[in-house]
Amino acid sequence: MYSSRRKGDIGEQAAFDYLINSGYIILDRNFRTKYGEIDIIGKDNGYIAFVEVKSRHDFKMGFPCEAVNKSKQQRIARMALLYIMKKKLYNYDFRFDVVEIVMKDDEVKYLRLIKDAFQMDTMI
Amino acid sequence: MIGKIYTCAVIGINGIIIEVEIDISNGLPGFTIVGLPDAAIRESKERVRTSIKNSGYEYPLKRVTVNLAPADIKKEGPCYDLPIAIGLLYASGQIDCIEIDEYLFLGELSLDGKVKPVNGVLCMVSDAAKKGFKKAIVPFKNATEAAIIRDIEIYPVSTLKETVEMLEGISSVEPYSISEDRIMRLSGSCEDFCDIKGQESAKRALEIAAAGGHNVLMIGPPGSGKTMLARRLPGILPDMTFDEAVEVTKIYSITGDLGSGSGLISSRPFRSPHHTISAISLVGGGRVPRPGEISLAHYGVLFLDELPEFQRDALEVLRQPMEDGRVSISRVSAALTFPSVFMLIASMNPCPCGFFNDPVKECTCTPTAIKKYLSKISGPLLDRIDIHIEVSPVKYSELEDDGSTERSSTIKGRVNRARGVQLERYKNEDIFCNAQLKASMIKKYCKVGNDGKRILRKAFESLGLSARAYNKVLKIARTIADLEGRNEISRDDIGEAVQYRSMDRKYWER
Repeated sequence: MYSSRRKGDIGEQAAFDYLINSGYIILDRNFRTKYGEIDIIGKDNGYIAFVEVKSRHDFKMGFPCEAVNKSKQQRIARMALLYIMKKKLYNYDFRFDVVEIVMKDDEVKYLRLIKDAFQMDTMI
Repeated sequence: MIGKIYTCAVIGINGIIIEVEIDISNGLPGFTIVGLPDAAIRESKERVRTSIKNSGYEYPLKRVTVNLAPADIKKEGPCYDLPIAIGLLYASGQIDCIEIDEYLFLGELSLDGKVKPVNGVLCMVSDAAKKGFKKAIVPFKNATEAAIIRDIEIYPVSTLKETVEMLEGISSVEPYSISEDRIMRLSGSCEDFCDIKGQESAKRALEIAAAGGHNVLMIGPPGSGKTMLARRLPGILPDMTFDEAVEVTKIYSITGDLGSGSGLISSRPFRSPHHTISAISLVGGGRVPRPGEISLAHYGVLFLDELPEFQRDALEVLRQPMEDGRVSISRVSAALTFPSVFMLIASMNPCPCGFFNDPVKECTCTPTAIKKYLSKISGPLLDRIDIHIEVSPVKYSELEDDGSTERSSTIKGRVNRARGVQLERYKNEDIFCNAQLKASMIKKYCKVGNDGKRILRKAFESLGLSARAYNKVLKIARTIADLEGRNEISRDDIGEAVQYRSMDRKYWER
């Protein structure tokens, strides 16, 4: 059986390669915080994009991006704020991207990059 | 950069100017609206975002904050979509317009960038004009309604793109105006009084009621024509003045009942709610306060058929608005008032079987049943109704008679004249018809000669009239004199007026 680690690693590498080919300048990978990790942080077209990579073996549980639900989004946002504070990036524009990957037998069958996948609309 | 755009909220029937402030700054991309927005406005985000994108403009991927000031008024409804979108485009530098704060913006946005109509436009534009605004951008379908107000230029728009291009000066848009004769919409036709054979006394009472704005209670057996008479009343009501028509149109504008197209409502409203109506629907209120039937009958007629069948608390809650001419609804965030100056026309049977005091048929009710039935109408409510008439069944000879009966238009002519006299007489007071006379004014305007006073005293003593009834008699006599074109109230006027209060004894033994 494929370990999920392996699936995730292959997926991340595929996403990384795709982003570089799309013109992203990669700033960081696997940025670790106490809430988890940001998969890839890259600069694209004036924005600093926080990219979440989601890999799956099949579409049985829906599109991979659907797994990035409200709580995951909030978690990613919290981690992004930590990164911004750490690197003192106060005057930059930000964006949240998601890369979806579905693979079979260690081969990537489907890959999609969603730019500006979600925003932080707070309700007061 | 901060943008400031003006729009309007409606509280009651008044418009309050609202400033939409937009701030775009660095940070995680998001869109926040503050200023006590309700659910519809919080959903604005999605409509604004999508319509900006679909109109070909750029949606800024930054931290956007929208403030609807003043911050302590609850904002409701989707009319803020357009001002928020315009504010966003302006603050992100996509609209170049120096005088953008001279405009008032109103409108809901659809996902593809079209501007959709909203309720209450007349109220908003009217008060904005009073506050000094000279230009307003409104949805196309609300243009006719807005154009009623002459002091402000109305620019109708159908899409977001059109609005932006107009502000940038790329396209020039002519202000929308409607000609004088199109301002009043055509009134629907009403059934004619000449359809009713006989019932001359009832017709006379309704004529007096129409002329002076008096409330009427009709008591009679089933089939005597009470409903038929009431339905023909709108045909003889005096014409509304321009100011009255504007106020009525404002109320219908809030409830969204104006429909696209023609301008002012020109015929007096006639509302006849079913007797199962609740107190709130009758008087107004609800979680999101809405005008009730009495406000929808403002400057018109509220017809309550089968009065004892109405819920008791619905009737009781009528009393205060009948005195004040308005309804005050309090909520935590605001107290709003809807106007409700209406003529109450009520009809009822004298008892459960309907034939108490009938000249021909036998009444089959026990005295207790009759008393219980009649007591459903409380004393205070009865007291507020000026004219009480008995509508007895029509005799066969009258039904058969083919002789000519008066048309509504003739009666209306007399009513209009009498109303004109009242408008002239009260032009320095804040009332416009005899029914509204307050106790202090009655002394001034309803002077009676000695023989009139004699009749009054007799009636007062023998019929046991209350002080309120005494005042009512004087008001009715004043209207009767006005119908005759006389300034002095004669003895006969008093005599006739007294008849309209004499039923209390017969039915209610008061």
